Amino acid sequence: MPDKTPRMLMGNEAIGFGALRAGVNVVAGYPGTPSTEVLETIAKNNPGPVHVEWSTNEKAALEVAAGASYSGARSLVTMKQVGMNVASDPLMSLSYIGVKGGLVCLVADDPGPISSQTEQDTRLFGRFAKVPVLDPTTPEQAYEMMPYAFELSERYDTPVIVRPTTRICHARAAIALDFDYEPHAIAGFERSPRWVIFPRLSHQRHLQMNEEMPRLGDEFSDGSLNSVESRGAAPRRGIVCGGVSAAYVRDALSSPEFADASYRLATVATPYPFPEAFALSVLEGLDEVICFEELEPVIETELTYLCGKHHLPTDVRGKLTGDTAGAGENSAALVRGQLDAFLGVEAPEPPVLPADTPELPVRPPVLCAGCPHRGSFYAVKRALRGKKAFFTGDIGCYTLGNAMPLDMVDTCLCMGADVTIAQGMHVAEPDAKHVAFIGDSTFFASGITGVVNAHYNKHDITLVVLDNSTTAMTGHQPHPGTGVLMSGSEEECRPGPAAAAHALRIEDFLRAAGADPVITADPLDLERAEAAVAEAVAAPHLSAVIFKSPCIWMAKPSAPYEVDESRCTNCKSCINQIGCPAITRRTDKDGSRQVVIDPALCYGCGLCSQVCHFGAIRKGGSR
Amino acid sequence: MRNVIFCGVGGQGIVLASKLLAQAALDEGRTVRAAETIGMAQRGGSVMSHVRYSTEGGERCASSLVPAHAADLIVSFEPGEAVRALPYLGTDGIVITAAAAQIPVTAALANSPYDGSAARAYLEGACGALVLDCESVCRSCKSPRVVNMALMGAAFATGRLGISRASLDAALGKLVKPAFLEMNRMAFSLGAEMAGRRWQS
Repeated sequence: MPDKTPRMLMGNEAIGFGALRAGVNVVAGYPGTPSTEVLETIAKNNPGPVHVEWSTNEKAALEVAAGASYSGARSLVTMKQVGMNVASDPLMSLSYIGVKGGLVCLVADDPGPISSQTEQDTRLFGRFAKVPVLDPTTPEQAYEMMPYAFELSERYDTPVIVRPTTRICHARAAIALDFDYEPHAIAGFERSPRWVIFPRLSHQRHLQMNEEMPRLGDEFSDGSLNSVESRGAAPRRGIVCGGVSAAYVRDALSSPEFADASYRLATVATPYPFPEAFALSVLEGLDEVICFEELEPVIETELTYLCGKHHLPTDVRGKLTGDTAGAGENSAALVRGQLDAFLGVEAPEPPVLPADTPELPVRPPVLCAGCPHRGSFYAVKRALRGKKAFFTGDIGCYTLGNAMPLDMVDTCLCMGADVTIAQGMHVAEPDAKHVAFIGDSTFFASGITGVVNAHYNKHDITLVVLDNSTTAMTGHQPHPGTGVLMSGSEEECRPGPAAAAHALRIEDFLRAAGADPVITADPLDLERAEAAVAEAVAAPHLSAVIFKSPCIWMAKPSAPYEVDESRCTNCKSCINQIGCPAITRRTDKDGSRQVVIDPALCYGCGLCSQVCHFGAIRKGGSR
Repeated sequence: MRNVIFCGVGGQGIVLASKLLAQAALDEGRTVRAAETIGMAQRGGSVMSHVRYSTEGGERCASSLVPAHAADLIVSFEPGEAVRALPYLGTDGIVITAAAAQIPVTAALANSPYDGSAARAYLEGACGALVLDCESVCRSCKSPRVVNMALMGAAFATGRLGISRASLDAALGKLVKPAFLEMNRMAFSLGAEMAGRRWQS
């Protein structure tokens, strides 16, 4: 195991090590920002016996973890918040069935949202499923929480959710890894009616959960995860925080302007079941209390309920009363302003900057220079030019295909939805062509069901698979199409012949599901790529094109391309057609502007040279 | 407490710079917190890293993110991004920025005149920012990927980090592959030299 001096760890690394500290036996997950590094940390620091896998999706991951738990293994399943939607089917039933080996669901929420479709709050999912939720306020607390979460799961016979948010997952703090890995002893599966869910069993278990959750709430009230402190004599105002907001509040309160302020400050790290006794002790004697939390007003609602239940005169403020923001992430600045207003403190004058701020360019994320998806989108665009056609997109780097000038993503909803949304659109508007774009990892995660539906129900769509041989957006995780594993022999865990022999072929799936034709093409060979799309779209039934070309992060760049300035007419076709970040315009001393390619950014994909009408872009010297 | 912000465009090597400073501070026995941008914004978007550490006998921070008007130092890899980060700058804070503009696709498409010159002029007037010709350092080091070390050298030369050169150098050895170590050291020295002229005068 790692040496025991403190080192800078990302919150997600701390959580991964926390699971190892708990002797975790089985880890399954699906990549998703901000959760991904938890599983990767365990795989990278696997002392040997831990089974680690990227499952095909979150539902598969949770079911693998549940099976391992039934057999007595301590199991961890990792996902981002929207992954919980996919895994909700097993979760809802699993809370009734219970566990044997501790089962922890690490579900990372994303206030903002910064890299997600929704601002859903997993604390409410826990409440909905009657599954306890722990909500770390720092990376250090997340590390400490993990062994407790496993132990809790076993003691209360229930899965447990640990829910960090982006600013915990991706924050770094100095943590000493003070343990040696000792695997949890696996007791083995014992046959029992308790593992088979039936209505009668569910009724019994429902009553049992109703009794146990308040008992667990009391344990949380007595425990050390929640904290309260008072400043000044007999405070009449209280501040209650959840998650990273506690740190913003603490930083603000350490400012000199608050030196004479009187308040009670509490943090709630166990939002479900709510620690009512603890909360009542916090509320005692207060005229008003303000809640700082992100996403939904979970703590605020619980406190409001408690005040009603116990006829307390305390006013509860927060999102519901408009005192804090109803959406988006909190920040030190936001919290500071709200605290100033609540405690009646005057903020010092901020430094004044000159008002003539220059106009700054917007920087939306874009497909990388050399990204093969650019060629795929452009080939489809060319093949369907002038035709009535709609383009459904999906979750991944390729969602960025919606940006100008490609403008090739008309819809994006959730994982796998491109395939089926296109079918519904085609039923409603059969005179149009419908092309669905899906990435290779997303295809395996949740695209296959939609493909089967398309064939069975005779939907005429063309599926375009953007196969870059990795899960690129989340940082290049392997998937069933790569054959690379996260635990196993050295050969199994890296790209090579063993992994290639084990890889599943998307072509085979599509043919088996009745797609015809199924054409594989190189998206960076524009002419052939366009012809492949034209052929597939012409078929009056389910058809498919697989554009196969590796993500630039996995491939070596080739020599950069150059603009031959004697031939270039500065028509800007290259910029206006494909929008590659490596192509910009240089302003010369006389004010004239010349299209240029930045050799530091160019990956040598050559798409621009195929777009240029004047043969003015050519391959340059060696890199 | 020291608050340092690194900002720029995804893919410029910002994470390595912030990791280097955090590691050096940790090795000096400071309490350190840091945060980086990860995810979709890495694809050419605006990114920012925060590094916070205690000074001798000083207070500790609770959050990994630098509050508004609290940065002792803003180290920017792009002039426009430095302007964007100014709300973080403390009263006596210093701004260092690489001179070269990164022109986004949106600006190239829109025929926008953005070339960083207005941002550079504003920064020099508004807060006496040091605008550094990192491209010359890259030419000397024969690599486009050492802007981060040139800026780290410049940040060190301001004297505001409160971290020794030896600690920064030792941290560099931990974070960079041996084959690239000399190149990165050279960029650090060149950056420190360029900035040193300013802070000595």
